[in-house]
Amino acid sequence: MLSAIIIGAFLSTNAFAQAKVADFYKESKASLELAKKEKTFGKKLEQLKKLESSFKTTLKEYEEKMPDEGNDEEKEVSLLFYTLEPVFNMNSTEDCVKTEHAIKADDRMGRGEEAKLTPRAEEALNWVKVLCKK
Amino acid sequence: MNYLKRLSLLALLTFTSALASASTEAACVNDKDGRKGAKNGLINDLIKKSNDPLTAAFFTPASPEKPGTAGDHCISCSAAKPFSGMQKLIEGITSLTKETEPDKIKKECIEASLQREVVNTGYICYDQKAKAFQSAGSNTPCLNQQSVDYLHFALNKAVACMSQNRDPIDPRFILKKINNETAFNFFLAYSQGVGIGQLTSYPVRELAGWYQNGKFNPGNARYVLEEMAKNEDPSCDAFKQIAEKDLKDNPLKPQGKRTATMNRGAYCNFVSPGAGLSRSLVYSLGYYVYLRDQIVKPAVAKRSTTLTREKELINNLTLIAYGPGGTVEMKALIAKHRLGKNNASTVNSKLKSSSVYLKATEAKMRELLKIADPTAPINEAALRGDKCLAQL
Repeated sequence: MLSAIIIGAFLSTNAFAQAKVADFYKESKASLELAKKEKTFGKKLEQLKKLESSFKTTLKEYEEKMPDEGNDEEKEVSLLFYTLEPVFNMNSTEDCVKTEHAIKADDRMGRGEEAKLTPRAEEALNWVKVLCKK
Repeated sequence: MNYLKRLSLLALLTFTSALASASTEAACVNDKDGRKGAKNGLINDLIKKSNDPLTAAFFTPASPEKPGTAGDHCISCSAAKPFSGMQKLIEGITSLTKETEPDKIKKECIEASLQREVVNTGYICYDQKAKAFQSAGSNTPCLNQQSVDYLHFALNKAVACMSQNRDPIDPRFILKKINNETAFNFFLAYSQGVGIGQLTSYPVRELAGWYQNGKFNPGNARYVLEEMAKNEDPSCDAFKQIAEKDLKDNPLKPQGKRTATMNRGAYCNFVSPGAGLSRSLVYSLGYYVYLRDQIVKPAVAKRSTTLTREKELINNLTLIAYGPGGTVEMKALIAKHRLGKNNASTVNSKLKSSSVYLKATEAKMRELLKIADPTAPINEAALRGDKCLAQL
């Protein structure tokens, strides 16, 4: 009985130990700093790909831990991930304008022409800025 | 004497008929119970004066044998008039109005939607110049039966034309979207949206492309306009002409080095009766099609290809993607509700409680249904819009 409680408590603790959106903002900012030091688009992209991979791993873990329905914490991580998705899909600096447009379009959808951008969109645009800097 | 009697009888008949016609014209179909106090009929006059293919098609009699009976949409065919320099176009359109094209959305649902009061800034366009007015209470424009018939005609025509050569657009979702955004008050415009579908610069740029830093960006949804420009169905000429024009000249001004934005100077391109309404429908429906086919379906396919055939699911997700939060919110909800592991029906019901935008559109649909028939029960099918479909 005691071991069942210990295992339950461990699993429960483990479930709550999933990375949260704040962790991803931290990771994104750290990766962004590293990317800023790189000279080429390709090298900057490598930093971004590490971040994408980290997101995917965590989102997969969330799904494994909660197979029927995600919780709000997971949704917050998802929202940041999908806001960054157009940046993850960039292939070259040729994609800069359309990526910036896609991020702003989505973020302002239904909120108006000049609505204040969300922190998620600001983060994605920070990446566009760094990747597109020549 | 007999002649005089006949003449006076004729005069009396003409007078009575004119009175009847005037009272029909004066009745505000968008204010049936007089609660708003709408009385300004300027929009009705502007519709009659519009010199564009959509309006021409609406006023064109269905056949030479039966002048003045253009399907069910020409209710005052004494007002039908030839448009200077458009004879050829009218001939082409006449052939289309002979078609027995089924209406998709019932007129009574558009009428019910129009009873809802949507307080906002409206615009009247004279010579492409927008004059603002506060559309509220007694300042709400009074739309007569002919104008409502015109809106009904325009919506169903746009749905039919924009559905050609692709997965057809489910008009129930377009009804819900428009009912939620403007309740068919196509003349509304402000910083958060312009025209019948409340467009902003972003969807317009995706379809028409835009210049930025001196370089042209075609936009991801430009193919929608390109396909419409190639449309050979004469019944779609109104929308085809808009597409052809906008592929050459973005309707957002200014252009050049600055990014084209939806500013007041561009409002008339989207809110004027005729071309403005046609353009708003092309872009609102065109962006819907783009989101559905290029964003939503691939996002669903990542989790389950078979679920891309679930029309209600796809349309609900497209509505979410077209609302606040956009495609990001839609994708996050797909993940949260474990689409693929959970079936379409389960996810659909979860979306109805988790999506703020779906809840808002459903609440407005409830209002519409209650106005349309206060005694009818409002069940799932009714909320889906089934009762507003002329043919299932």
